[in-house]
Amino acid sequence: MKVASRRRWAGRVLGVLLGLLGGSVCGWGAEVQEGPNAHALDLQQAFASVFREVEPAIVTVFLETGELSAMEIARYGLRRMPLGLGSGFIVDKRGYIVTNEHVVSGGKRLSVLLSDGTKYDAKLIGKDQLLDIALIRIVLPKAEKGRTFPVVRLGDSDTVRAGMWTITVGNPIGFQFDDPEPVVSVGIVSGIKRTFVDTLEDRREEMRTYGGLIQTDAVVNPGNSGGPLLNIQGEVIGVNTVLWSPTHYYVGLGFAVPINTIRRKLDPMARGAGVKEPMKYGMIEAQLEKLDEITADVLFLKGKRGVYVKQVFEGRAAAAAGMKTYDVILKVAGQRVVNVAQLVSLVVHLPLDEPVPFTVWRVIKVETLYPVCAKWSYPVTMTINVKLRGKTIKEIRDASRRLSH
Amino acid sequence: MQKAFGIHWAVGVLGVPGLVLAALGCAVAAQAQGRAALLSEARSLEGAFTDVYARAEPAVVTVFPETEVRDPEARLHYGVGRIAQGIGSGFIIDERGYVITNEHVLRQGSRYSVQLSDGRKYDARLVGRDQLLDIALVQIVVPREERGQTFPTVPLGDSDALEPGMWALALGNPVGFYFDDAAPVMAVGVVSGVNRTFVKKERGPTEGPHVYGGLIQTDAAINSGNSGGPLLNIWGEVVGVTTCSFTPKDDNFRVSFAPEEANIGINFAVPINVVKRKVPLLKRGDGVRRPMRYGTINATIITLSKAEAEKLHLEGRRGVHIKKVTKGGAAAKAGLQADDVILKVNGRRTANRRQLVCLIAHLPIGEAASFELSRVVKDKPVTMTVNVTLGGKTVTDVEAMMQWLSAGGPEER
Repeated sequence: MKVASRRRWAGRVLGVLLGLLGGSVCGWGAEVQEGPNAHALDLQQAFASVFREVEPAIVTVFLETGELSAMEIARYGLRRMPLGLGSGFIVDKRGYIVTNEHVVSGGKRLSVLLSDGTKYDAKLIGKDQLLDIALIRIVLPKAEKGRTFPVVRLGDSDTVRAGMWTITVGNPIGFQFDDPEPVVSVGIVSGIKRTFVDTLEDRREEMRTYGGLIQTDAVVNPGNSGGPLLNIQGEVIGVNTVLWSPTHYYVGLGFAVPINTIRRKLDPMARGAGVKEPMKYGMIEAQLEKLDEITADVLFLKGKRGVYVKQVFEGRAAAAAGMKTYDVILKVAGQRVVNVAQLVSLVVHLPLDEPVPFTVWRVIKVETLYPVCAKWSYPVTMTINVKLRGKTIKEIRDASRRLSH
Repeated sequence: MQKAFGIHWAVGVLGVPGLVLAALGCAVAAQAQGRAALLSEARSLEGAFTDVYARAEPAVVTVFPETEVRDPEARLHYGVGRIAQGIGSGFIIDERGYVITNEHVLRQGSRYSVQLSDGRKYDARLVGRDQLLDIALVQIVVPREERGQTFPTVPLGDSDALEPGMWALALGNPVGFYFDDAAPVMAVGVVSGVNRTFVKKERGPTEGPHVYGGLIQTDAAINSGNSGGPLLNIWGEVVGVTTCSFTPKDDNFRVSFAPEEANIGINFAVPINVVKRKVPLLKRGDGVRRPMRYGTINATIITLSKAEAEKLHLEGRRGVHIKKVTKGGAAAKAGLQADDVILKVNGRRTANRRQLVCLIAHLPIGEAASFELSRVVKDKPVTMTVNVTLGGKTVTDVEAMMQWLSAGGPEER
């Protein structure tokens, strides 16, 4: 009896001690919650360090008129009148800057303002009108020959997913501020591979199709064009290019051209493509049309969206690769395409030197001796490698005008 | 032997699928744990935000500038003695009920009320104000029955420690007239930039431009009604007073169909370190009982023009050109001369007249500030640092001063 009650008593004491220990541990844990948790601090450290690292390589790009007359210089205190501005970022230490083509078109001269306040003239080296990207270069005065510039790191835009952090750095509304330093805003990737036709008349005479853009809700305003869209690791994943808005200002819908598409074009632009010689764009030289209900039904694709080949031309790229009329293009280079604008905006920027794989759906008719079997047909999926033909914008426009007649 | 075989068989039959199931279970558990870890990170970040709100919210108030209704019939009709003419936010910095808010919020009325987040409403008296800085101090007037009542406060932080990319949390009562709730609301963003200077074109229907210098810029949403409310860091300390936004109305290149007062993600706050310096002056009644005095160097200054920059061997540089030094004034006593170009003050770049004036005006009078300047000596530019003990002056016509400061913009490069 004594032994048993002692055991029970020991058990109770142990239980109470354990309870106290557990409670104190929990209580201690709760007290450690004081102050913002590590994640909030880590994140803001990440944002701040991305900005610090990238800021010296961000520039404001000014589009200007030609030199003013002596009287105008005396009156305004300026050598040239500014017509517009945008942002840009340095990709090569010799002073090569990537920005939007619409930022640098329409004036006579360019100048760039670095984040430390120094200003240089700049020269347009190459541009891609369809992509809306341009490459300019800082013109160094003789006294500063050999000066090198800080550069940004380029990332991989194929790894971008909706929900990831995005950071925009630029100089929005830059004319209104006395400070040359760029500013930063944080948001997330709202979506990827966004395609739309830009119908703002003031941007260009014709409509421009933007394809495969990264969408973000970070603050992007006029003046941010040409600036970088970065990921949380501080790598550039896109170039802020378009802002969709009923007010012309930020409402939460910003779009950036993915950096992987731009990267391919840097060398051609550096060699003068778009300026010294026309930029070439990939075309498959076939007449394409969006799948309508009836055609889709006949081709065993009832209810599906896609692009089908209306006509191929003898000797041209599509025919040479083996495409036939009524082929349905499902994917281009592994990417699903649902309408013509999306397909074209994807294909025009693909490399011209190696064949591009097209995933094609073709309905094969069975030819047999017996007439009744001639009605049989079945679909196959195949890959057709097309060597794209390089065409200039003028050739593309002429071709589309011919086709629309 | 049969039995042994049977056991092996059983182990084989049950063991292998058992192992597979166990492995699968582990994988599922690991994945669930991975997702749980992600969620817990996201939730604990949320926890940081909700924590800041919970701790600051009791000290954030709504400020109503009011006018007195004198006509007895009207008083009967409205049922109140005073009508609110506008709305703003504010925050309590002292348990005796001292509230910081924007000066421009108070302009709209001659009487003031303050409503706490729990709904209690009190009269408030204007203690001090600074028109240039756009900051005012009011004090809650405690009725006799509540004598001795103290109020919750919010801690003040260090705005000099701010860097672009840090979290910025704004509390206030935007568009407050539409809501029946007294509790403030919060918006989260980051610090977009620091030391921003710009001209707010028309501050009100009867006002001209107002020049703001050295502001914190943030993308945290600030709207009409937030004015005077706190901008906090992730530690829950006030680092700024949310003051205004850049709206399409201020954009000289605005496309005509943009709504005038839309918020476009470019918002500003007066840094708290400047406000902290002014609180003792405001408490003793500066701006109300006697004029507020501002720092000055007693010199005629102009933004350095391109032509002068070349003459003074400062091509491509920006600064403030001293045209004339007033005899016996602060600049003269420190040894500054005409044709000196001020490049920095206390380490901060002063690229034009606006930035310099906005910076110096709020530095303590009678204390030294360090000026980095460029002087041409024997046809060569020499950079030197001079300590100048600031003099003080009053500004009788703030509007005229703002007009003068807002002319001559950043295009003077």
